[in-house]
Amino acid sequence: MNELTNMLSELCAFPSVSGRERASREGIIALASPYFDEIREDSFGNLLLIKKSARENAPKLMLDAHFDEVGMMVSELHEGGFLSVCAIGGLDTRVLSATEVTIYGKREIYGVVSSVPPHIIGRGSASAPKMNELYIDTGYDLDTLKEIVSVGDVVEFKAGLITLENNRVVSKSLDDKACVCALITTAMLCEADKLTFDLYVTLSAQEETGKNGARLVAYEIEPDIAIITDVNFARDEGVEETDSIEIGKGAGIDISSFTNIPLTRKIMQILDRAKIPYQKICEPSRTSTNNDGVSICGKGVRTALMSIPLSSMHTPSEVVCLDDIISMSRILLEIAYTPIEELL
Amino acid sequence: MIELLKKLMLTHGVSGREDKIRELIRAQIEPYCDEITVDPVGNLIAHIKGEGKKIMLGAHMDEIGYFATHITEKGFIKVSPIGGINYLSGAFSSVVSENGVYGVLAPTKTDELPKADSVYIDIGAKSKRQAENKVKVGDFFVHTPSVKRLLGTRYVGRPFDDRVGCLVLIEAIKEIKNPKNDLYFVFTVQEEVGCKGARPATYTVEPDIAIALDVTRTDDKIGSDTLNVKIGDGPTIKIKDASVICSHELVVKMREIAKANNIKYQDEMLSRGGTDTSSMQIARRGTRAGAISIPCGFIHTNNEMIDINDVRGAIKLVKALVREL
Repeated sequence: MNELTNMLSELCAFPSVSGRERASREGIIALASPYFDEIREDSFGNLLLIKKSARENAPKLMLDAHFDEVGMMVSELHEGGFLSVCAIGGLDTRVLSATEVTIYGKREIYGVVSSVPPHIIGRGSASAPKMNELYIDTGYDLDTLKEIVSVGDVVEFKAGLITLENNRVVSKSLDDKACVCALITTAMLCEADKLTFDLYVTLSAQEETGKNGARLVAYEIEPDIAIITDVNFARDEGVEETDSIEIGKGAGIDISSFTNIPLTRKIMQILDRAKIPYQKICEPSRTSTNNDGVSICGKGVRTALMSIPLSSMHTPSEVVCLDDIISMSRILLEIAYTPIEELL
Repeated sequence: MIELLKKLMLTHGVSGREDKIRELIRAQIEPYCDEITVDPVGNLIAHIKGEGKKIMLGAHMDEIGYFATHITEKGFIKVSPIGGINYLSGAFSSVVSENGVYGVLAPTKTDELPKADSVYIDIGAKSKRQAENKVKVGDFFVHTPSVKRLLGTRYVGRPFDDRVGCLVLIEAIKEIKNPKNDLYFVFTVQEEVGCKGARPATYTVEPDIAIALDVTRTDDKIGSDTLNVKIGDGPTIKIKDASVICSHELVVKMREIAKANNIKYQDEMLSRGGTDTSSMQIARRGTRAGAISIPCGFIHTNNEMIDINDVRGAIKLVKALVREL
């Protein structure tokens, strides 16, 4: 469990705001390369990690998790060392005020998002601030700041991973580093002679800003089967039962008209037979994950979608349970060992 | 150059109906290109051969406007909008059909901002029959184009979006001789209805690098929320807009080349609006994509405003990029 926590902590610490995932390329390659045979990258910023089966001409199983995270981008520098930023991805602006951030300029500097004290803001007006009402205080004077920071530099939450009870962890970026961690763990655990597929693990770019990375890399791979992994809403107070899965009860399998129903059913049968627990979640049409693009890329791809439950999505304090990451790896391993005929 | 700009602006071409503007552009560039094709969706693709990287530059030919959907008993023409119409500017202003029939876009209510379903075109017809003689359902209308010079180097009129981008590429094509890189210039269709043409064009060309030329919003005009971009301060190098985050490596390279050639440019972070860049970036397995924009005030109104020096700067930048990328 410690090893898993360490890997997850390292993954979450990589700067990877959508569109700038490349900044972490070397770190992620160093972390993942022991478990893969080949690593490639493309012009869009996707990383493709390949683990070959011992069998010749094995079919291709694509396992996707997006590597990017929500964040901010500098749009203006002001007198007094303040920065204006715009949101990259669907940030939860309710929690932005007074958040600590890292600004990736020529070097890393820190800042705090401005906030109006509760004494002054008064009752009833605590609505979510708009991005153009927020300023990041860097403490620098404008001339020095200009030497370090340019318009277009990225800004991220500054939040290290914390461990809670019951194997739960808190960090920024667990969406979708929890799934990245599950995929690398799957490759780490799997034995090449048991693999019925060549594994194509894609750490895709820009899911949070258009969901384009995965379908571009899927076009390149032309997989026989693709399993998209992402986080989904944990069943917290105020979240509908039908929209959520429970933290700590295992990975979720999505049932949607945008996923391949026969494949999804076969996966469930195999898991039932092997007595591997999982949760089910229905998303009637659009899943709003990389699944939707991958399923219709190229000539079309058979896809299934799996989720890890996560609390406080798109904030600096996302929560997941390590047990659910292990559950996802275990399920993926079972699929990767199953002959393709039994899955179609 | 101004004469060509006027010609480009006065030639109609609503999204999906770009044939006239395409023929005009084709005639302008044909002598300077090795090969010119029109693809099945109507994109004009021009090739100037070279040995190096395959670089694609694109500008959209289409403009916003209306399709006639129904002619009423009284001879008024109901229309459906093509692209993002600004009804505040459109109401009570002059429109012209693809066949040269003039009219006024009239709102049915005058005490509120008109919407798509509360406007009609009055061409002066006294009856349905009279109107039908001039306009058929499916004919397109545009707001009457114009170009006027204001103080100094500023111009006002429509549609600068994106005929000014077409102008930049045409002028660049005329000046490029024996390029090092393998160059494709695409004049795309249907940008205003969702950046549709650029995707098949990029799929066909399969470039190493793709750059769109378009207009961008500015923050020195009333009601604008864009950050930092000003008319007359030079063309912009786009970092992001609502539709795309440009390839960071390409943005960095474009800035270096602009600086090395003493071309004044602005950083563009656009909070609203999109460009063909988004479609170029996601064709096939993905393309390194970016954009150069001409700062333009009052976009999608009858009086878009630009500075011709920004156009000159953009032409210089395009020439430097195709040479040095």
